[in-house]
Amino acid sequence: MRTARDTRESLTSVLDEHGDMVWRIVLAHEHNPAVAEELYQEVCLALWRAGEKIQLAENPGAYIARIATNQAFSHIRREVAQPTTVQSPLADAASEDALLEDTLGRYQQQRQLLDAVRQLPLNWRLPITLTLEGFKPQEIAYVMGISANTVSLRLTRARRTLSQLLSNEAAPHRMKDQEPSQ
Amino acid sequence: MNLADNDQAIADLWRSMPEGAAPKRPSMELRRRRRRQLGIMWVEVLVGLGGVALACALMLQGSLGLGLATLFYCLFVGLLGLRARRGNINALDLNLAEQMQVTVATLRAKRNYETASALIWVAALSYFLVLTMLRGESLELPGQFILAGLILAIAVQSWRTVRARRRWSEFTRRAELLSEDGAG
Repeated sequence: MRTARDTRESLTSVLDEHGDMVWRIVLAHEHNPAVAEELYQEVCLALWRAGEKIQLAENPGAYIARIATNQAFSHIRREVAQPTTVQSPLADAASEDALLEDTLGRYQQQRQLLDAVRQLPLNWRLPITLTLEGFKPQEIAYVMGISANTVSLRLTRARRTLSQLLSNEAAPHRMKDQEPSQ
Repeated sequence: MNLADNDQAIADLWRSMPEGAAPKRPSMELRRRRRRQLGIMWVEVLVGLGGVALACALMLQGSLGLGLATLFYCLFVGLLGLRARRGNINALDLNLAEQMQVTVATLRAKRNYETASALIWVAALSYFLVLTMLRGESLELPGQFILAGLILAIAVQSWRTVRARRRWSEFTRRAELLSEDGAG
């Protein structure tokens, strides 16, 4: 019989392998670091509840990404009632830790990338985030519950918009979740 | 930085964020969270049992209609809570599209529940005003407190109703956006 200790150790090993992926998915959907931390803990709780299902899943990475995405989306649902506009503290982190010019440049690029991803409409942000995590369209389709063709179509548009945002090197206005122009 | 030309470089940049510009990943803290969830569950159970006890007391005192209405109300709220809880557990086996359908249905039920609650309070206020008018006496202090309480309850419940409707509406819109047929 599986004990609480077994479950805790199993979850620890899951987070050792996939914790960074979960954290990045959370950060893609939440600006406020304190709220992002709460969301991360919610995902951890969901992973703890999943228990052995993770090991038994055909693709554990995709299964975990699905749980994280579902929790992030539920969080977005709550965020509708409590919109946050707190600026990301990444700039401060970068200025504290950047000792070398190339490190600062990389930090700035990461910050720009994260800001750009956060500006994408939700139906593009989800597939592009999972693509950046290394998932294929079929795996993204499994997570989102849509066809691989739809995933590919959204990825094409998401890539185009993300490229434009990164080229502009600035994100003055947050794009609302809206239908893209036809 | 061009995404089309440097897909792998962009992906590497993204995946190296936890060691770079991103906030440090927090350590897992489940004990406090689980304890809080259990505490919330027990509070809900106690409130539910309190409602059932009140319903039984009303029926024993002869207010059969009011007692039954209270009992049904408690059962409805309890079922709604169970549904939401079961939805959270079953969500582990659902993809995003399926979970959205479940959540939309839950939010719709919550919207209906809040609307019905508001109507119940309005009915209670109407009942109280009719009784007061039939007595033909001016409202004494206890009656004034009851009237103020009923008006406050209607105000609070109306706000909850508007919030529930707004959440359901917004979430339905987002669910449509993310669905297979949504804007691509």
